[in-house]
Amino acid sequence: MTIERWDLVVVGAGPAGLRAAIEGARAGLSVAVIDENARPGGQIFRQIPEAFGVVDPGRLGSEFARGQALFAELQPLPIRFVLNATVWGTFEDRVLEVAQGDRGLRIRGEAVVLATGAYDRPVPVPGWTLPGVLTAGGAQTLLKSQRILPGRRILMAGTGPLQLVVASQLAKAGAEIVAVAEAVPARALVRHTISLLRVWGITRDGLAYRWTLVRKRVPWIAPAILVRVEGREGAERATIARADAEWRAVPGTERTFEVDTVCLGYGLVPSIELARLLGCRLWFDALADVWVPERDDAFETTVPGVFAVGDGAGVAGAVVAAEEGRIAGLAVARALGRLTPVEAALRMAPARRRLIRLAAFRAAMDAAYRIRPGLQELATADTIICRCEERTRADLESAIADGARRPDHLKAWTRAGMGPCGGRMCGLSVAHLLARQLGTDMARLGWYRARPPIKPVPIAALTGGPATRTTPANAAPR
Amino acid sequence: MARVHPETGGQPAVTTRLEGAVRRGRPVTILVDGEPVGAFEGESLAAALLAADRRVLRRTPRTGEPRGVFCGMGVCFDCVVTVRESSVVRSCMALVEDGLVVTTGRS
Repeated sequence: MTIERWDLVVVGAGPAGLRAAIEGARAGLSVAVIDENARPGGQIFRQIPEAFGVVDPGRLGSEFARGQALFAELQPLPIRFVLNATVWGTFEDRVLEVAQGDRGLRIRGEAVVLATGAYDRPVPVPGWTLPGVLTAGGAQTLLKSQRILPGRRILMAGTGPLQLVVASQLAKAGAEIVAVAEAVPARALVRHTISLLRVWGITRDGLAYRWTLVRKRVPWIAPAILVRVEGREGAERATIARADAEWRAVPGTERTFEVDTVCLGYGLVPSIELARLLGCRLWFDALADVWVPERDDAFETTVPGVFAVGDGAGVAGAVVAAEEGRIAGLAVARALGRLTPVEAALRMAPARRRLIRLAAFRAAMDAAYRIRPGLQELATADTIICRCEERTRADLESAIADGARRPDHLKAWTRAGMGPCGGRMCGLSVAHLLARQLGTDMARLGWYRARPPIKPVPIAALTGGPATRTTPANAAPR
Repeated sequence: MARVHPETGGQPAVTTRLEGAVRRGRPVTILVDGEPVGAFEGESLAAALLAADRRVLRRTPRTGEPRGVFCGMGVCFDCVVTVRESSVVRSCMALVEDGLVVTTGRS
């Protein structure tokens, strides 16, 4: 397979990646952007399908309008978009191995900007594998892009701004939200009043979402945490309890709701798989309870020429993501001689100012909604931790009792983390279980070792040939 | 908001298509486990299956427990179904096509 060569290759077409691509292209770099979805935008600016037409943009929300403005900026720029495409590995310096359907591509960037975004934190709680239990981000995607209301009677359980936004959007669209169980009491925000007022635009949006819930008479229960979901073929009942300061359920405070849908929204986890595979050094952010790549002030990682921006490098939202992307795009143009250091510095300055202004807000959010240990203690002995390989807390604990000391030991001994999700669903939970049992900390334990493919790919994309017909994985033998 | 769904015999479906903001693509029919299911061009398989009240998309190999859409954005691989009797796809990422043969693992 021949290698496509570009000055700048961006992985991820959300606000961070698109902004890096725009700045790079404007400075004269040749740019390619790779994304898994059919259209650019990422999760926040996720577009409606190409086959849909917009009748009433007002009902699609403010993000829709912001996304449209961004796409308009892209229009005149000669950027190559590689869509419906998954970066699954890398074996040579800055050459990305990409699967686009059954086709394999090899794409090399003089510089690579990782803007891989984040996904909802998986929270192993009894019943979380039942159909009808979905993530807040997943519910929002169905609503925003597909215009589908995922449930009729919905319980939301989680913490932080995303849960608030999704609850408000679902309520507005006509769902009956039986309750929002927020783990953090409102008073936790009071001490951050000044930081919140400094970013009045964002705070005002938050208050508007909250007001929607008040108007729709959605019960807001805080501090409360999801204890279990029950049902036979899907979610039928959800039980919450009052949460103490460490997010442990207070005995005797359980309340059960009849539901058909439960949304889990306990914050986001950066997608760091590609950064790990490329050899970027990571550090454990204990406040956010996630691993993130180390970066310098232009968001370059410890691997020269590889940058990491946006939520995939530390969750901070779309506004921060775009500014980080802008700075990284300019830094690449500077490194490749398309901008002088002075030009680059001038263009970076406004972005840096905006980032400084947002930093206090971001710190306030991180502190107020920091993940507490009780969240990882909701699983009972028979709760599934690894969804792919169906491994329970008891399975993992017995392996630890047998001597497993690292996430990779548990992977080898129990298969947890070996399934198609690549350990994204269970990796943090497995490490937490180990940390708790061994009395050590997450930073010391690390994560499963990253191995290609970081996402499953069709064999044809590896061989370059057409797919041969195979027996479906779940078919009965004939 | 409550719309009667033709495929659930008059019972309101858990999942509903919202009208008003968008105009969906042209109507298509997919074949799910041999049964015709109506959908619209542009919809993801997950959206079409949910709107047809099919929340159980597969059963797990070890314990046979039901699974459906979880992350909704291509990360968890819990919503996988088989299309054209040969390819395993994430239903949240794959789009419907007229006449597409879909096999769930729900039985």
